[in-house]
Amino acid sequence: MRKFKALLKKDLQIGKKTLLMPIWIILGYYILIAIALLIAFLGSDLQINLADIDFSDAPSVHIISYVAGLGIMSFPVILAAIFTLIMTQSGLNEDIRWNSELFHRSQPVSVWLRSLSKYVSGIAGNWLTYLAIGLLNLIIVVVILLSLNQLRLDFLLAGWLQALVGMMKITLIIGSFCFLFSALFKDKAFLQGLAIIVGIHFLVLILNFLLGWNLPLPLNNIIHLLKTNTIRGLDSFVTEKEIRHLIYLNWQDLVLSWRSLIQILVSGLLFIISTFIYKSKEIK
Amino acid sequence: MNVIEINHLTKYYGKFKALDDVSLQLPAGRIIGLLGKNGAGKSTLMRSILGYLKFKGQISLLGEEIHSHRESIHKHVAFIPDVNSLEDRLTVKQTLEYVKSLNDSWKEDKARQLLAGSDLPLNQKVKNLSKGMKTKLYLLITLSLDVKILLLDEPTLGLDIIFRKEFFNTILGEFFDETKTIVISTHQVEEVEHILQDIIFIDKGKVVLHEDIAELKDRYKVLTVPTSRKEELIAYDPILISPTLGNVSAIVSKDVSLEGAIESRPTLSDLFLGMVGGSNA
Repeated sequence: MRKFKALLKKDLQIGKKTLLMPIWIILGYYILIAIALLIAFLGSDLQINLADIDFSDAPSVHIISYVAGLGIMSFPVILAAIFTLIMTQSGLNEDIRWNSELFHRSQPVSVWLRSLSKYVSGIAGNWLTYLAIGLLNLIIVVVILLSLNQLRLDFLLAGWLQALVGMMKITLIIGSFCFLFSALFKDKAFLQGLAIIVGIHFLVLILNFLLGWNLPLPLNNIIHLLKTNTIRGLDSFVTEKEIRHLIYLNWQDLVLSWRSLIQILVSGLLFIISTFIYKSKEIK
Repeated sequence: MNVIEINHLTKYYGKFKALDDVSLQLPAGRIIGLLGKNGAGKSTLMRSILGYLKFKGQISLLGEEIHSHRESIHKHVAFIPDVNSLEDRLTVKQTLEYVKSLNDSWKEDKARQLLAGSDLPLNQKVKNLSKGMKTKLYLLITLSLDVKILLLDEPTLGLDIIFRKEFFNTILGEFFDETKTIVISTHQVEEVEHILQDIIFIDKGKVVLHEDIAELKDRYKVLTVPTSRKEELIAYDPILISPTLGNVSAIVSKDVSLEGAIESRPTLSDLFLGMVGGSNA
């Protein structure tokens, strides 16, 4: 455990800039909005009286809070996915590119442990970043909904947590594939890996068409693996009881479904294959 | 007891044969020099010993058969590669803490002593250090480990002459005892010659010679005569003949004697040039 901590600490020290980047982007985004609001307010163009907003035709406070919880994580999820991709696509090749592979390999520590540390820092490191952004967004939304008198904290937190778990699963899958690419390719691992998957996809398509086969298409399966059903047809969920049921259904899909199990198993398998490839490579 | 045993080691890079049927037995408690031209196979040999490369043949390291890289060997073996492979993205302090955390054989007192004697800036990133500073850091790390075998591939590359002398005369001496084995590959053979006990000449992937240095030097001598007597030297079939100012010197068998010739002991680089040839040693 001591060695794993040391590896993790080193990987986080190295990846600190990339991991913190989404936070700076979000902060910059908010600062720009604050400046724009301030300018509008000072120029007297902004005339918003929150008390005047009519919510009589709006959905129930429960659905507003729940959807707000889901929604405040939608922009950060794109950032989380991009930065997970950036971190993990260099997971197993960056030491080779930085010429430090021999130094790390010359330490009495298992390659599996080194690989795990890179995997965890690349994926879970981004989860922590995303959590920090999510907490910031949550505070802002709580303040806004409170001032609009539209806050149901339990529903807001349920939506927020479900979005968080959904993001964790998406980045786990994306990160695991990129991690595999990093074991296979030294440079531009994501693009090269994607090109190969797309190539295989079209090859299978052609084979299926020409030979009448029904082979599974790689891209379709990967997209299926990334899917979550968190946003269902919200129109049919109106009352508090119905929304509670919706939240329950979403938790089942997110955590207790076959898809979740497959997502975790595939990620684990990709990690094992990546490390095995990495371990068996010569260090020249 | 041999700490490293190599039998019929052959290594190809594509079609290029980097090591050709190398067999070596390296005993414990020796300081061994590995001398060869660029591309002779020195680094490949060291990396094969550590299992970093795939090869044909057998290698045994501290009694363990090496088929592929096993991290457990680094509990007893430290290695400095010929390229500067430290982690550029960490600071000096972070690097020291990292290595310390991973190595049970880390000697804190030794590390502090070496650090105090160096001018390494702890909070500076490794990438901002000069080449010499990086080498110093690598040496500090390696010599702070209590290991049985030290493999040094061009360890003083980039260092100034003062530190090189300090390293070979003092630092390495403090590390070494009869339980340890040091294998040094270097181009600066003159600087390291006095501490070496055994020498290995390697050329085009083959081991040309592996011998105790004292015994090797006892087999030969250098005879120097005026240039006009060059033919007399050639008659004794010297392994090397080279002109000097107004004179000519030759390395010949110790049994040869020539009236009026100045006799001296050959240096390692002379012997290397004589046995391997070329000017790139």
